[in-house]
Amino acid sequence: MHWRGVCGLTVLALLGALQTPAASERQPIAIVVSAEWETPPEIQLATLRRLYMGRITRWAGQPVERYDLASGTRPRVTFTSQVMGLTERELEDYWLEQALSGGAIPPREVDGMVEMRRVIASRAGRIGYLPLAALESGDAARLRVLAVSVGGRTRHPREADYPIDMDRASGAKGQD
Amino acid sequence: MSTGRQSCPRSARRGAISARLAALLALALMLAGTSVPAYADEPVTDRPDTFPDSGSRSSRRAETTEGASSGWTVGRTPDVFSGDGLATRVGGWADASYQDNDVESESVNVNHFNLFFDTRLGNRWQAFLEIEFENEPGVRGFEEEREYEIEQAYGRWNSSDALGLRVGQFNTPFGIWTPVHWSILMDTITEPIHEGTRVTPEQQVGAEIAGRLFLRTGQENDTELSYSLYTGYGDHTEAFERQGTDGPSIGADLRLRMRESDLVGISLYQQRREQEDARDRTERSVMLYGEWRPVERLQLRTEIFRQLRDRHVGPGLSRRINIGYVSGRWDFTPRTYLSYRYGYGDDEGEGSSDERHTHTITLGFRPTSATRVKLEYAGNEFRGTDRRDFHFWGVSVGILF
Repeated sequence: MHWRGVCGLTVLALLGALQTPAASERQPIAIVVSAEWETPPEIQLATLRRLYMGRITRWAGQPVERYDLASGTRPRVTFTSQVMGLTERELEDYWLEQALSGGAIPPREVDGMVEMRRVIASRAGRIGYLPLAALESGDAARLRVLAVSVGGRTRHPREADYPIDMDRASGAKGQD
Repeated sequence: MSTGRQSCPRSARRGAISARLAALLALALMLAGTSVPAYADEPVTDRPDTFPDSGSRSSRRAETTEGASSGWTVGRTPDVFSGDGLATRVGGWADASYQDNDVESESVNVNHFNLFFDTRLGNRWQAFLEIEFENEPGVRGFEEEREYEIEQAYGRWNSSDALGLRVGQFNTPFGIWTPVHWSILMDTITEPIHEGTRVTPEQQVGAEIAGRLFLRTGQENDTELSYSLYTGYGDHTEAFERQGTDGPSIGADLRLRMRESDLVGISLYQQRREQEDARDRTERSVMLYGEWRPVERLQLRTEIFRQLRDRHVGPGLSRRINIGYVSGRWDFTPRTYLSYRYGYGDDEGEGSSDERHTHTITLGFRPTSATRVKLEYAGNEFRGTDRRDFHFWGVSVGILF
């Protein structure tokens, strides 16, 4: 009885290992600005990185206010990794160095999707990000989703090779 | 190589400041106990696929945004800068350590206590003041430092991202270690030789123009060139135990960043050391430096320094100094790393060469994002000098508030 059980479990384990993993769903992160803000329809990934690192402070003709989701959330980890090319700890070190030297100011944090949508929509010059799936139908009149340009190719979040996606490994480096 | 270590007797001066040290430590611990959210420990691992839509829990930053557009806002987080009005952020850090070596008695001290006041008016105007208590023991093999001082005090005006003007006292933009508070920001307890021997001044009193340019390579403007050009007077420099650093200085720093984690740079510096005796001289220094992250968990770093003096100024002061290091850090986890650094220094005299070689191994971890803990061993070897080889070990704890 004991051996039967062992053999049965082994067979099940082998079958399980041979299973083709289910195709994972894409979970793109959308870059959003206020619908009132007249910006280009796309933003370069390098420009997005520099805005969020505080290396540039203006875009599309005016000063930019940047908004982050809370540290440790999956969209934020993905954004930090794939846009900035950094881990959360590296980014923490960066902002610490900036603070102690009177350098750049970090983006402001919001606690969730509702707050992010509300804050970004409320004023031109604000930029943020959130999972595309978190956008609601009513947001279309208040928010605009920017396409992202990498290496001369511009991709919308709904396109397959859009560069900011939670489905990709969180440790992936930003590509610009 | 005269790398400037004193015999470190337990002087009366140390006794006189012990009460102040205790008071500062108590204050640091009190402040650390109420660490600001900006440095608060937060989970780094992925959260579930649900996204918090807690509309009832409004953002602390958003709250500040809406209410900070007028008056003078003072606080301990970057939130204070969310409006267009006058705002001051107050913060700081402190560290304490146990340090020992096999040739002299150990040291248990608060090593640094720094407070900064960062005041800004909109995006263009800034006034930055930093005060420091410093108590670095000599057991690391460099000259001990004990003083209260204004670390930085400058005003800055930013015309654009490409051009800003800074006037006052600021950290010298020279290489990687010199401009930063390495004690709390860098991986090790002991500094590289060029920093420990202060071959270039820690601060400048003068003026600087600095900015960033973005270079188009291919279809992306993905390479960043940051620059700094400055002039002033060097301060507090005791390079290789030689006093006297007052005199005009001029310097430049160019840094090319390919990715966030990869950069190369060059720093140039000239210091006129105006002295009334035979040691009056001009020093010209150059530093080549770089950081490279070949894989995500490994960071490599190097700085190569060379200094030339315009003339031979006595038997104890050579014409050339060559110093360098290479280091690697492996991150076991997001909050734990192991670091190794090999450092080399060569003070080339007339017909002789004093050399110092160091091997530094550090285990570092961060129990919270506001805390730095380091354990370190360093082997120091000397050639061409009467200094004894020695082994150093230490434990350091740093906190941010």
